[in-house]
Amino acid sequence: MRCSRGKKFLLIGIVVGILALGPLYMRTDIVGLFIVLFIHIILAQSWNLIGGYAGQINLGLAAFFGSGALVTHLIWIGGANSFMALLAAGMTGLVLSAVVGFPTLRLRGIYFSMGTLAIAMTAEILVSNLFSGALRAPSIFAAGFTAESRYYVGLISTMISLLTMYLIARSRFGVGLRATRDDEDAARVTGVNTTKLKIEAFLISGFMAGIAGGIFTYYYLTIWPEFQFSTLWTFVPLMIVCIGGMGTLMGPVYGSLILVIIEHIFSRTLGAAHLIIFGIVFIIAVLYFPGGIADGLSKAQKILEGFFSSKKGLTKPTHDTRMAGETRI
Amino acid sequence: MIVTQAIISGLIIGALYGLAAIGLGLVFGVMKYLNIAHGSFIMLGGYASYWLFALLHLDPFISLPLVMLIMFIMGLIFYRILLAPLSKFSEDLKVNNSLLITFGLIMVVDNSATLLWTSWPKSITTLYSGAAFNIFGIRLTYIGLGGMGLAIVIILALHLFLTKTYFGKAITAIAQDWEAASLMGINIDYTYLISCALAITLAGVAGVLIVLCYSVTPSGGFSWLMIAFIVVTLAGMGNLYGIFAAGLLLGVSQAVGSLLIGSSYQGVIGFAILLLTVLFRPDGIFTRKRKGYAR
Amino acid sequence: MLKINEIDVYYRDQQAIWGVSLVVEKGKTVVLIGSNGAGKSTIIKAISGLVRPAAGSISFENNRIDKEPVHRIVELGISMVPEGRRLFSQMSVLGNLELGSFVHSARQVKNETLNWIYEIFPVLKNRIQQVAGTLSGGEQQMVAIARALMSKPKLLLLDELSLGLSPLVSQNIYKMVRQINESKRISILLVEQNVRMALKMADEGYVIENGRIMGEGKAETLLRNPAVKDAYFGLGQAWR
Repeated sequence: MRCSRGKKFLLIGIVVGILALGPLYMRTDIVGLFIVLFIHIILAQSWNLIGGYAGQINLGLAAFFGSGALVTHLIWIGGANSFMALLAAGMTGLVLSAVVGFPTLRLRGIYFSMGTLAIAMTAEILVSNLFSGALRAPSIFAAGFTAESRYYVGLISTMISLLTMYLIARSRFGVGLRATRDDEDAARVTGVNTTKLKIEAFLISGFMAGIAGGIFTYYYLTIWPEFQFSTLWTFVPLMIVCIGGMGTLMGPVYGSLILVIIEHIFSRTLGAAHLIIFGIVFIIAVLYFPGGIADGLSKAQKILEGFFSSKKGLTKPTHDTRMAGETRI
Repeated sequence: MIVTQAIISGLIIGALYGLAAIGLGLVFGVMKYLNIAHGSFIMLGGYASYWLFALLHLDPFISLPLVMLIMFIMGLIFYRILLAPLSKFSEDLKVNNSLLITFGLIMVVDNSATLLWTSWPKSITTLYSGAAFNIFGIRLTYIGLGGMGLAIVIILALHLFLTKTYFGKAITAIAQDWEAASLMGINIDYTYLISCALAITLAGVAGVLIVLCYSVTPSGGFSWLMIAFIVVTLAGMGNLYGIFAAGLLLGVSQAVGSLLIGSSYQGVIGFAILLLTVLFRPDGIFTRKRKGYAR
Repeated sequence: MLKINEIDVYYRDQQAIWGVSLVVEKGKTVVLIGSNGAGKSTIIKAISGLVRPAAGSISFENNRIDKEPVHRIVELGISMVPEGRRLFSQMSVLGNLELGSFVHSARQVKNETLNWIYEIFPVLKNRIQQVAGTLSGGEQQMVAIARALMSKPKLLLLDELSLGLSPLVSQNIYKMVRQINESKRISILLVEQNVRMALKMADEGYVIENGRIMGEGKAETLLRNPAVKDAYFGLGQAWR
């Protein structure tokens, strides 16, 4: 690779440094935008882990996100501090993953997908019956609210989630997941315990989704449970990952960036229609650009590299490729 | 007495469940794609019938052939634009991508429906809508009977089609082994195209009955998708014949079960049946239990 | 009538076939021999259209077929009995055979063809309603061949007939194949691991190793060739 290890770390360090100092020079609304970006990145990585790396399509992400948001609110009201509330959000997501994952991940992927869909539907109905309208945080929280604290919570959580994804991708766990995704039967036969790996990945994924929900409550203070559990919160992260590049580390980041920017610019003008457009773009991406933006970028990088390196390319072998010493019968 | 009424009502609803499920089962059995937008297509069928009724005053049973034609054309377009491009992917990717694409389609269709027709429920009320008659103390609605009759006719037609026509036999062959089927000279792509259109048409028929008996909303597709999925799982993925029976079974179970736990928790019965099937009989209750599990 | 010209075939990014050319003349039986994984089946699959060559051409009766879809190739008169038979095991024997005559030209003469099938494979007459999956290996192989014949092909491709069958049964079936070739002048291209059995009933042969043609010639010549004997007639195969 042209970029040496050292150069990469330097680049990451610079970006992190710039982001870490963010609230010092950013306008408040931009800080808010970044918080939304962080939430999307974490949620998208959650879907990416079980969907992009393990190949299991989670259609009920909203239930995990919503549960995290709800639980954080309830725990907060109950008097716990924000750290506990966030942790509880993550645990909720994890528990939910266990509930859905254990029965369905032993079977073919369609059962998992429909199982998650069923959970999401059930949750949405349950929640809209139990909690109608908005749930507000008590005013003491509003008084102590700073955008900066939320920003740093979001930034740190995002860094942790990205680091986790990076470590997983390079570990035996990650290799096993990808093997499961590409050909589960073949992986099984070579001794990979695919069910265990899928469940573990799903637990981590659920935890991350819960955290994203917790940060959401933490930032917005007022939540509307019905909205938190709507299919939108499944579709948008799904779309982010597929457009950004499924199964890559940076894909969800690129996708989230684009989404947040586009939503920020167009949400007033398009309204509900923007979902229709997103849907169409999403379908086109899955059918014709399966690698997403991440793949496009790496291809572009290869082209540039080829451009600048010397022409030492391999020549095509001549047609008579018989190995030396063989005689024709 | 109440139990008998429940059983009869359950059978009638079950016929509708079976009808709603055939389209899903057909696409999955033949192409191995899971079309989760199936529920949205059911709703679309209902909407088509609704607007023909509202604007042209056509009785839904009379406009049925027209609705079927509309849905058939929609199915052709759906296959060509969305499903045909999937054939380039490997077997494992195909299923996943079909899930993703049809999920995207749900977003497009449901939100378009909301934009065009609002999310207020629409239903059709005709002169005979509430009318019923009594036999031996059992109450039967005309619409219920009509729906049951329709379902039976369709099942029979499908059976004849699958067993007596070359095209139908081609479908059965492809469902078992598509490569071998292609070696018979069967045009796989064309068969897929027509099967998909048929499946969507059947979804539309279910939608017509639903808009008569219940209502249609842009997001109503999900619950019908779940019902269709439960029925297809119960019958066994790829087993088309069991679907009607499985639908009846689900309908009766829900009807009788709601006597015990109340009608608002009917959905739970469906999920319980799904869970039990998946845990103990993943290949469906009509397929002989294979060694191993549903992989 | 079948001409393969310098084809390269890839199997998932790996090249499997390198510059293979061969010819099957009308009415002849040609055999492809070679060890496991040499690429013989790949060549057959390329002819039937299940895989596509990346380079080169395949022509049948002066029509290019290497870019045609599978069903079209069947319509042109090439029928394949795939490796492992691939019967529709949940259907009856009759159901399988009827599907074999799916091509329009074959449908009309279906009953005529069936009678001919009963002549060549009398065993099948009694098994006609039986579910295909319950037949013995040899009987299934007969059904598979019969099914391929129902489309009235001019060229029959056979991929590893003897797999899973006892030598006696295989020999029997090859006798029937030879009969088909001689009585109806249907050309035959077959892939077979049992080299001796294959060369004994063929007119010509090609030796494939590592995806390339290593030798070709009349079957009797190959049968007597010492290099072929060394390579393929293993210990324990007594032969005269």
